[in-house]
This record gives sequence, structure tokens and C-alpha cells, in this order.
Amino acid sequence: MSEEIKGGWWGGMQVALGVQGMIILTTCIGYGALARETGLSSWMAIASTGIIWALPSQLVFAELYLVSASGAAILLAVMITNMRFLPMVVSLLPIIRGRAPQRWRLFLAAQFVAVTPWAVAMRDCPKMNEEERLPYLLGMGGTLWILGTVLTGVGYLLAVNLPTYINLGLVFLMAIYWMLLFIDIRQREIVIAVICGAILGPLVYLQFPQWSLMITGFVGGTLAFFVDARLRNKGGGHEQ
Amino acid sequence: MSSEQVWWLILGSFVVTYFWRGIGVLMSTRVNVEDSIFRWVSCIAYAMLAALVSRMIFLPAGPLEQTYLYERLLACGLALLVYFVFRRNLILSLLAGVGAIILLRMP
Repeated sequence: MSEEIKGGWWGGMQVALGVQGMIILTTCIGYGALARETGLSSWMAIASTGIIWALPSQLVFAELYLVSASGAAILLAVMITNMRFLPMVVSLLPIIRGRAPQRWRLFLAAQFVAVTPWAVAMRDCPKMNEEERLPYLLGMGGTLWILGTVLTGVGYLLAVNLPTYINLGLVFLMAIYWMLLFIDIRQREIVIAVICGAILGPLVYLQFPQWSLMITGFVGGTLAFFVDARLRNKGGGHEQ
Repeated sequence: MSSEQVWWLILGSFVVTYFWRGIGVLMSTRVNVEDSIFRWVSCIAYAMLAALVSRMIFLPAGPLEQTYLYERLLACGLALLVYFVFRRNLILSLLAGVGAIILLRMP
């Protein structure tokens, strides 16, 4: 194993054990606690984190299960909630692919793409050597994935003693976390996309709750893309 | 719903989730980082995420429905304040925001 590859794995694992790990730790504990309230068994909660690995859709799953929604409605809701992974993987992979990747590693890396690992990889990978990038994502994603799955079980067990008000704080943590990530974005078209999404999201949700994420993403993202292109043509000095 | 059905649903959720990830891997070979399409799908992804977060703050579903809008806004405001005052310390900001909700909801 070359030094770069080793460095990538090591760097990814370190990031996972830092701030990001602490966030995953708390959100997975929160999810485990919530899953218990909805009546899922502990192994179901653990397995859902382990194989789905997308917290928002796991919340949707648990919530719909709680209100006895049909299996088809649950699957459709999960599918819609996770459609964001398509553009996320498409945007991340060209950065981490490197020159001659082994295909199975890319498909494994794709399983680890969830909001937090994706945002961290998008931030850090462009600054690294090409060979370091894929090991970085695998090291980070793998570590977070193992931690998150185990801690879902821990949260489930803790839930017996965890009062509702603490649980509410843990659930809201994700919203605060993403809001803070958005604040640091400097790329103009992404800033516009975030603003469009934040404004349109709740409005569209009122009309089309099931489809609001897809509609907002498509409309807001496309709008942002064209507004940015327009500003570019006017010589707006786009840097990134 | 029987427990066997729930297990099938969890497995089904994996399939419909990995579907997007797998398609993403297959599609990405044809996209260059500098391509317009790449920038467009990034915009879509971020608009979706922003919509999800904005909805959690303004129109939450599930357990957060128990909280009031002013409580959620207060938590966000406090987190932002701490973030800028303490030089973008993420953990401290999260503690402030989550702590605000917990303190407000504490019986």
C-alpha cells in the first residue's frame, strides 16, 4: 500500500472520529431512541441504520410505520427522500475516482454516501492527491457506518431512560447541523440553490407533501443554475 | 403489520435507496467535474437538502411537531450566534442549539 493510500485511509478515519463522528454518534443515538418509540424492534432499528444508511429516510420509515402506512407508501417515501443520492454520487464520484479505480470500491463508496460524509468529502477531497481521495472516503464512511450502526443499538437501549425533551433536541440537531454547513458555502450557484430550496421547500410541502423534495430540488436547483449562468454571461467574475 | 413484513420493508428500503447510489456510480463515468450537468445536479442536490432543513425548521413532521416555531427559531438563532462568536466551532454551536430546545421543552 502506498503512503498516499495509507494517508487517505488514516485521514478519513481520523475525520470520522472527530467532530463528524460525534455528530453521527448523537444523531444515531437519537434515531435509536425514536425507533423504539415507534415500536420497531432493536434489531430492526440496528439493521435499518446498517443497510439503509440515510437518516432522513429512516426517520420517514419509522414515522410512517408508526402511523401504520402501507408498505408501498413507505417504500415510495423512502425512495423519494433518497433520490438526492443520485446527484450527490454523480457530483462526488468524478472527484474521488482517480485514474484506474476498482469498480467494486466505487460501488462500496456509494453506499457510504450520506449527507455528512458527502459534505465532508466534497470539502476535503479536492485539496488532496488523487490517490488519497477514494481511501479517504472509504476510511471515513466505513468508520462512521460501523459507529452509527452500533450506536443506533445504544440509543435504542438508552431510550428507556431518555425523556422526550432530550429526544426532541437530538432530532433537531440535524436541522441545525445542515443549516451551519450551508452558511459556509461560497460557490455562487450553490448559495442560490440553497436559498431557493429553503424558500420553496416549505411552500411546496404545503401543496405536495409527498413530492415536495423532488419538486423543490428540481425547480430550485434548475433556477439557481440558470441564474448563475446568466450572471456569468454578464461578466460577474465567477471564481470557483 | 407482522414482523416479517417489517423486515421485508427494511430490505426494500435498502434496495430503493441503493438504487439511486448505484445509478449515480454508473452515470458518473460520463460526467466531467467541469461539466454543466455536474453543476446542475449539484444545484438540485443542495436545493433538496435546503428544502428538507427548511421544512424541519418551519413545518416539521413527526416528533418535532410538538415544538413551537419560536422555539425552533430560537435554537437556530442561538446556534448561529455561537457559530460566529466562537470562530465557527461546530460542536459548541450544536450544543447551544440542541441545549436550547432541551431547556425550552424541559418540564
